[in-house]
Amino acid sequence: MDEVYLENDRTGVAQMRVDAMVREYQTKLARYLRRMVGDAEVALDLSQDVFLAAYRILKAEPERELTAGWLYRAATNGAISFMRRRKIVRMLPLDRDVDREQWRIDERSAASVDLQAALRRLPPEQSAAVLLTSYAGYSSQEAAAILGTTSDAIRQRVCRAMRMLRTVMTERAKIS
Amino acid sequence: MMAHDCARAEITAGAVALGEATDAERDAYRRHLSVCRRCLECLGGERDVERTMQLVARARDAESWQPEVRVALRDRALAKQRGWRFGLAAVATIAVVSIGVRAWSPSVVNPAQPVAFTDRAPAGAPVPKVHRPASGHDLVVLHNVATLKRPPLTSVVPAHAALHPVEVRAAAPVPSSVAKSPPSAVVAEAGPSQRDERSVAALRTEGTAPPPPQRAESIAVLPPAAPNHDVVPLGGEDAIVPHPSAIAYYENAEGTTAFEVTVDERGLPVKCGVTKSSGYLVLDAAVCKAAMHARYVPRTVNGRAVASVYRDAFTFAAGSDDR
Repeated sequence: MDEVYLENDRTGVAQMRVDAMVREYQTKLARYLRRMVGDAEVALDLSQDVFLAAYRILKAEPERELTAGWLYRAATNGAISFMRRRKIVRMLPLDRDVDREQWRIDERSAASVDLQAALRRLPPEQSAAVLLTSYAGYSSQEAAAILGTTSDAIRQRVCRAMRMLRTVMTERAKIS
Repeated sequence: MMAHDCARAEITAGAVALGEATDAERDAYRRHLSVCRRCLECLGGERDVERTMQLVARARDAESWQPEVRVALRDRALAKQRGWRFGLAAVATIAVVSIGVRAWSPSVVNPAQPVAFTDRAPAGAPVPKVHRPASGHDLVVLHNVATLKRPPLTSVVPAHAALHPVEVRAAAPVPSSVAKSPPSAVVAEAGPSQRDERSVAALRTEGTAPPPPQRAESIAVLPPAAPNHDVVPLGGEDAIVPHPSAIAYYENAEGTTAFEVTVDERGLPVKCGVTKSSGYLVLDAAVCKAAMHARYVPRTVNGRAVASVYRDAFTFAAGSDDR
């Protein structure tokens, strides 16, 4: 695989580093992006974009340090850009059965469905704050560094997102 | 002071949700909730906060999707390489075919090129009479002449204009605001002697020659001077490309067609009307046909698409082989 998409790399340093990043973060990043954009196919595409961007940077500057925070920041920016574009053009997955199948796995958990329903109503900044902290496991300080804000702002966004989550849960309870 | 406390309580609730709140912060939060009913209802107690966050944790634990980005990344890289090769091959094929067609089939003339109709054949080749204007002019379409930055005369007036009688007149549909800048408001028209008057009369629409002044006045309020930006064609203004029939070239048909298209909330054209005729049915029909084939980005009001009207104008002017 590496010989194909990294064949022009002269030193191989970038190739090895990106390969290690892909192995370690592909699942976490793709899950994070799927929660952000609500679409598995798009999440895969955005994940690839992030890793390709990392590869281009490392190819130009092999000594540069790219942390997981950088990956999440790039992923968040890509997701927010995608959601802005989605307001104009709505994209449908080519293979909708596959997408539905992937979601059906999570639908076994009511909490997962509730979370996704709440995230759909949240502004991207609040979604990112909740997912980076409660989902990806970062502290408010680390999430603040990733999103370029303060830890108090992250806590505030989490609190507001939590209110929406509770509202969704209450509505569903009324329906059921 | 209370507002500041409420804002602080919101931050503390976030810290409680993330499990980062200290004992002192929790005490302060409880004290605030005991005196602020609004925050109690809005944020909830510590138990409410923690219970809600357990939902996120359960959703995280239930996640079982195991995407394989490495495979997708490889497929994408392979597709990219294949795309480059295919693109290069396609460009080379198109170039070879187009050179071959031009070299071996000089009589093939496409009368419907989008912007400049330069359907001239190579020297010495047989020229189809029907596409060849008697005056040696081609037809040039100037899109939305009122918004052109450079004077259309420079590209429209034939090089041999000084040798032949050429009548230069102000275009009737040009609004008064645009008419203040003469270079952008004039088109060249071949002399009457170069026309077959009978067929021209058959092409002309009724009552459009010569354009009456009051008509020009009414055109002054038409959108070419103030284009309708609420609704735009999908792909930009260039998405509408009129293809007049061959008789328009033969007759050196010229003029400006102002039109308006009613666009529904889905961006589909519903109705096209000519608000100012060019004087030639073939030109007006070509403009409306092109406008009805285009798709539009509808106007939005408060985020909702609504039906609206798109207005624009095309100016057709005779070009020259001598250019």
